[in-house]
Amino acid sequence: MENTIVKIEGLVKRYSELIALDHLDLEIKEGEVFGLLGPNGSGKTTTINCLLSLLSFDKGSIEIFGRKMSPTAYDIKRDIGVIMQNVAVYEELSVYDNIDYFCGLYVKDKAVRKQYVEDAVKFVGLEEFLKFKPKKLSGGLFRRLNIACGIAHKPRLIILDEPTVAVDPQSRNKILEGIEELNRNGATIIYTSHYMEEVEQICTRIAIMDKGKKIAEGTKDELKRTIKNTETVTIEILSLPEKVREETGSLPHVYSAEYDGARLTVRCSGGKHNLIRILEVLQKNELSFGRVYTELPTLNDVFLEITGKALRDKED
Amino acid sequence: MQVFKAFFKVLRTKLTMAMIMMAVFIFIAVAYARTSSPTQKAFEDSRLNIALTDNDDTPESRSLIAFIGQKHNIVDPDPDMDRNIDRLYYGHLDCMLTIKKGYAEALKEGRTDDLFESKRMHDSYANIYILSRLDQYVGGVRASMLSGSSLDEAVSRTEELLSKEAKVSYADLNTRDDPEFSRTFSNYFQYMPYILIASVISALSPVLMAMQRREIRYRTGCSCIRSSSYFFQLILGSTAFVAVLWLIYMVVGIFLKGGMYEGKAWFAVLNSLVFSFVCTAMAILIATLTDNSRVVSFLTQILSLGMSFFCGIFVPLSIMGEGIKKIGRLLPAYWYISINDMLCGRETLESSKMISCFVIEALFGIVMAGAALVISRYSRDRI
Repeated sequence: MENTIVKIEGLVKRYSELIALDHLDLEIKEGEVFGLLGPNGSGKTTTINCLLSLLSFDKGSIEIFGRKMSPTAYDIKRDIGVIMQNVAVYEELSVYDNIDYFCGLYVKDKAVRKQYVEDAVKFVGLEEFLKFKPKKLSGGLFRRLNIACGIAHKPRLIILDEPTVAVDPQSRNKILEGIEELNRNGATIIYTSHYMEEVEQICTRIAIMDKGKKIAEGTKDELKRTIKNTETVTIEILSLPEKVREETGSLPHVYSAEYDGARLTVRCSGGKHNLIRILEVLQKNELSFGRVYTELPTLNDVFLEITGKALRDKED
Repeated sequence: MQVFKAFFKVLRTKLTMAMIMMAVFIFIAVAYARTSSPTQKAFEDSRLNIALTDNDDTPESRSLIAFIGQKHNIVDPDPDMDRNIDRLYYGHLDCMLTIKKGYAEALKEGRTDDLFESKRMHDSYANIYILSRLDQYVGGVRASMLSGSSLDEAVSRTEELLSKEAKVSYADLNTRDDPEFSRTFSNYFQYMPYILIASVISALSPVLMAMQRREIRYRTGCSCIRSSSYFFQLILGSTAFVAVLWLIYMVVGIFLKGGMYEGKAWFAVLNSLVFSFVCTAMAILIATLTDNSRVVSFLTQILSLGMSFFCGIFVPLSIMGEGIKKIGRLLPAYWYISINDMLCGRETLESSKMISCFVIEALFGIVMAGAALVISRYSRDRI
């Protein structure tokens, strides 16, 4: 059985009247890519701050590598890498100097550090930009520099707090591939995001948070199995009489049929041939329709079903 | 010493303004030292332009004209009176004086009134001055004659008497020519607080702000460096930078003085060292209070110029009003200047007073450094 790297028990954090974390329990095993998924304000970053002892908490306990975490637990901190949402680099230093500086906060030996910095530069692909100042880098390269600064000291546990915010799709993919490679190299990853696609893509286990509470936990398949939705069918249709919508909703295995004036969305739980049955209803009523597509349940469906609201804000 | 090294790497990018200030200050100080001339020690009365008409034309009246000519310019009046009035109006003439006929006779008889006639612009001080001198002259001649002197003797005695002038000396706002602490040299130390405040804050505060940025502080808090070690390295870096800056000024001072410091000059050196510490504390405090470079730039100007005007850097304390001095006492530069004034002789040098000034000056630095520490600690806890 894998070792437990992080153990959080009954964590409570209050900001006067507001409860930011409400009896949170988490256990993260060695070698996992653990996703903390939740909307903005759900308590992901507060959890990370408490985990790193940057914030004090009101109740509960945190153990990392089997030892109690505290602000002065420098031997634990030595094996943790942090990549924050807001890029933390010196604008005045070059790419190389930045990585060397942050690596130097953990690694004293000059020769070892030099090697580590070179490895980190190679890992994020910044070899051609070593003398550049961060301001001269593109958004994607800037984020990669942030990652290099966080991982250069070869930590066992890497915490990434929304590292792909405001990053173009190409750089985002590169970052996600990098995280998977770090994990293959032996690092345990904690990844917080409100982008469910990213979490689905790279995380081996996921905890969904809302209002400071963990509302679900498991692998993505386990999470999806907890909800009744197994398939969502969407049909573009210009006009749909109410009686046809009701007829569709009453088909076997269909538990919800919604029409928004342009699309009919039918959610099914289990069963086979759902799409054929729905199309037969439309043909029988002589209704013409446009594109038809089906989707397997996503983590957003999991979140939607548990909380009754969408995971991501519209602007996201 | 990773933080210490990074401090200097960041500092390198923020040095331009401080270097420009230092170069300009040193250039001005050297140029001033090379071109300064000895203080003027004598003065001469203004010579007035007097249009004189001698209607008496006697040896006595001519003696009087010669007496007036010793101190003033005597010009011939224009035959056209209107033109004379114009000359008075435009200031080409200070007054028109006529020695009336019968002047010599009147003197012999001991009469001193109604001997002259004058024309002048309204409220002209020159006319009053001339008439006063003539009154003194004729009064002197008359007194001598009454005591039995001949007219010639009376005239020569009066001229001798009136040629005596009050001894006038300049109030020296600079210094005595002290070999240990000369005037040029004391001026160099006089203006040093302005340049120290401006260059230290403009260079140091942005570096400390960069190193205390929220994200950097957060990231550093996650690492295994102790926060006390981080802060210590920042203070060490700041102190080292200011020490180098101060040393440069001291070396330039040696060149300006033309040799190694001696005697009282060492107190000036110590004074500038203490003030450098105060500037360091001030820069650290500013960096903990704001993370806006525009605010730092604004504060640099306010503090450097404000202290310069309120504390006697640009205007000597001895000619400043008591109200301004009261404000100045609340600022560290005032105590620096007080020490400098004692050293260069503008104020009496009292060792107890000088020690008090040193202590108060240093206290400003200690209080500011303490406040910076407390605020920094508070903001670290607020990650």
